[in-house]
Amino acid sequence: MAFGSWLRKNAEKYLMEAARDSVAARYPEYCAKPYREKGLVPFLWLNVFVPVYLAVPWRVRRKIILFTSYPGGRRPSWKKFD
Amino acid sequence: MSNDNLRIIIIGGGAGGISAASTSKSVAPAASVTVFTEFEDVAYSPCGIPFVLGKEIPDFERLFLQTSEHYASIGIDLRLKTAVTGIDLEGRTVSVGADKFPWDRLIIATGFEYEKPEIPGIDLEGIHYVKNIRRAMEFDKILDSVKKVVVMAATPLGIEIAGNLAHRGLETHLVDEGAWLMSEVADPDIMEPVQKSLEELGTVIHFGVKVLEFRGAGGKLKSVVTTGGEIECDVAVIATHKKPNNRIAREAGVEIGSTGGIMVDDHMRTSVKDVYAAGDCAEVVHGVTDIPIQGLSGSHAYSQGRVAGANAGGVERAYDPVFVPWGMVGGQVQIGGVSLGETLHKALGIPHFVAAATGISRARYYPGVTRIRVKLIVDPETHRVLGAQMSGGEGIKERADFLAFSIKRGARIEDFAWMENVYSPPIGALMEPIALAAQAGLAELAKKK
Repeated sequence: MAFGSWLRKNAEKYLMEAARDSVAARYPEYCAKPYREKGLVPFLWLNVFVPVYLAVPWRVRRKIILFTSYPGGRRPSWKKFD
Repeated sequence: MSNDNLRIIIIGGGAGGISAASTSKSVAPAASVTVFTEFEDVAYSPCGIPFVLGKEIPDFERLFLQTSEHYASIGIDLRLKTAVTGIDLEGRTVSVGADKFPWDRLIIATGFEYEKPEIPGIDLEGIHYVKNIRRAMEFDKILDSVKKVVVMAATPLGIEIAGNLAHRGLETHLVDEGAWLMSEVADPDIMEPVQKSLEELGTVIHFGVKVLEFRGAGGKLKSVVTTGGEIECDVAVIATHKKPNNRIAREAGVEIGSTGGIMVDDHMRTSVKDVYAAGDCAEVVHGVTDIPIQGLSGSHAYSQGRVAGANAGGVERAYDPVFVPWGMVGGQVQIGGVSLGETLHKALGIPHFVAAATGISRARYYPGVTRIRVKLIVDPETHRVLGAQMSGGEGIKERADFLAFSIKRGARIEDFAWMENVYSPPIGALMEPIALAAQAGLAELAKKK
């Protein structure tokens, strides 16, 4: 698996877990207890990667995401809306 | 190159492939257009399959939108049950076994495949995927003789299948690792009415459990073992993630993006000259975040196919980044939205606030009136609406389309708060629920100042 795909797959998984926990805390009446894997790898993603990711300002983070989304950071030509 | 001699080959006969073929033929009538599909049929609606299985739609024949003969009559060479085995980008041919077919323009529309979970027993008889109509017809016959079904994963398809099989009268268990339905794309307050509706239909929902094993006897499925216990069943439906079917494109050397989809630009051009891609095998750009995404709806695939087909036929056409209006029925409840919900905004860390309210679909005294919950996700700096989610008894699809169009054009929460709306007792309430949500959001903002 290419680095971009590996990073995206894992980042998505653990960012989603953290976000779902946060949303569940906001709407506890609608939520059950989710299944969570235990161990060092999930611990590191959730307690190192997620806080570091969220500490970076969105504008910077978006640029990093876009850079790692395309080989060599080369985005194909698409209209921009912002 | 003159369009008179143009040879266009399309790999795939789903929404993307068929719309590409029809559009190519219409913009370049003299071109030869050939569609290769490994399957027996084209031009049917796979999205209708759960509703036939649930007996909401009486038969599979209604899902067919066109006949194969129709495509022959408009000059498209349709090769059914013909799997393309390779693409030679240098020699500009596709291979079907030992046979080679030359092309001047190639459109890859190979669609998706389900991610096969790595779980012991996954190959047992009795485990099904819902995608191909012929396999669904066979599954429908099997369902006549079964009593208990386990549906794995509360994805949109999983919810449609679970609701429909419960409607059919089967004991249906929906198993999911999440804390609420569709927790990867939707928010818990939006999904709560769907959960209630599914449970009223008889679906047993097992939240927060992981499937550990499919257990069988004599090669046939007998039960599903989960972290929450063992569930006896006759069949199981796997409704896990869809992934792009990019194998032959990747092997040929066409560039693949980080989503696993084929990278394309707004003309659906791939990294290789004269090679296009459309539909679930391709990744496109998300209009709000600019991030590539993949695996959208049939209507997205259809539109992308039209763009790819027109460009392959020599008529320039562009495809905009997507804002993804979506909608579906879960149990008896309509849900939908645009772009990302609250959970996904949190996951990506996009600054936002939530504006939400519950309104009604018709005049409060009119028979059939239902509640509609609307959530708008708003940029705190610009007040532009970034996304929305809704649930209710009616009118969700139209609101999702309207919101997607408005968000694409940069509408702000103030625009929605003071929007005009239709008032007519049988079809619309005095106060539009979208406006109520926006007004509630503005009131919250005013309190914080």
